[in-house]
Amino acid sequence: MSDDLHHLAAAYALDALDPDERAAFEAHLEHCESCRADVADFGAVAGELAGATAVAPPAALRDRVLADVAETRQERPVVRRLDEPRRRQRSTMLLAVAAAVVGLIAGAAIVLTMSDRGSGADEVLSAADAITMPLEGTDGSVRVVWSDELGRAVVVGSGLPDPGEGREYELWAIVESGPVPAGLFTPDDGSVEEVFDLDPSATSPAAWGVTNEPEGGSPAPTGDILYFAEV
Amino acid sequence: MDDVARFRLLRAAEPDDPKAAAANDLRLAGRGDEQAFARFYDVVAPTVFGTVLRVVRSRALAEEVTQEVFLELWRQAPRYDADRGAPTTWAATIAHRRAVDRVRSEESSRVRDDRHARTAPVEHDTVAETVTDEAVAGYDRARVARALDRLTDAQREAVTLAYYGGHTYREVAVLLDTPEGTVKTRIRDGLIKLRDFLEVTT
Repeated sequence: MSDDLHHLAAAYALDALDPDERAAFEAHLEHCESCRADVADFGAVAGELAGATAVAPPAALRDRVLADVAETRQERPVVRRLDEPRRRQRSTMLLAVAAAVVGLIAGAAIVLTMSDRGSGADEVLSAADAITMPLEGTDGSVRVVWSDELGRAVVVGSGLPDPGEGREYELWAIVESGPVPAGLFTPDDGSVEEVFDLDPSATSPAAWGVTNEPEGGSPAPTGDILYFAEV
Repeated sequence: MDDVARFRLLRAAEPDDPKAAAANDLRLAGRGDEQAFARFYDVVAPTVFGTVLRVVRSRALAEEVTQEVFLELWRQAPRYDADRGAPTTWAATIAHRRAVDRVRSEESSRVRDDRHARTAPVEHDTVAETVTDEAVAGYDRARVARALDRLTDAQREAVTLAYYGGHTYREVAVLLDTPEGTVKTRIRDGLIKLRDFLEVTT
């Protein structure tokens, strides 16, 4: 599709696209520098084709145009923000730093992530506001069931690979400020069912994720995201 | 980019270069200078009117569309970005787009008579008929005619039907009874050749 779009630059420059294709290509242009360069080149060629077909307009047209001009307000200029991309980059970085800091604080505070095996799972599973979210991953299956009201989450998994010597899985509640540690677990023969008390900052998460972390967990994810789902 | 901008300013300072003068006038027009816009009109009006006329074919309609084009050029002048093309290219782009849109919207309810475009595609040697006697236009015309001459017949036909005929590449495919993909490729290859022959730089 995008390969197709690249090849539309020439037809676009000649206004030879259908309205749908034109719109699609213009959207593509926003983020395709090489197509913008092509359009500039081909547009200049089209300009040459236009120049070669010049015809003097009737003199009266000039008067009409200038009469229009005299009573027509112009568009406001576009204020180009040359520093915009850099600023955006920096704010993304700040966000990442903020997220890491939040993660750190939460992680420290969340030594609390008290895992009380078995007990409490039913309470969460039967909570009125319980939400079940299957996470996507390659090996086995992982579901998260949580209740904002109870402030607890249950992770249920089966067929999970052993996390490895001195390592554990860590569940993350991903909120606006970043990932918040939600609990550590080690499957028993591939299966797990554990209840975690959630940090208040982890309520109404936008997504859930699981990573493989050193034993004791990490304040912020260090491993790849193995299981993930957006709420 | 800075060098390019600086280069453009240098060129703008040369009074004998009509293109640079047009760029300068357009900049002034962007600040509301109506007299500068009038000078800009004098330079680009033949290109705009000729392009529109070629597509819409009716002189009365071409005058109407040309008037609209210049109103748009005036309104957009403060937003003209020299980095995105020469003033004449900018004017031609807006003119062609508007002519094509006008023709297509009028034809959505009425089938267009394509016979003229088909039997008399704008051949490189007929370009001469419509060109004014200005030296600059004559020079452009000859250059473009020579460049078009170096395309294959199939490429030239696809490019001229699309641009001068105001057809979409899909329409060109129907007119030429050729697969759409082939027409797309001919247009692309044709423009790449023209770009190289005309030594277009942006």
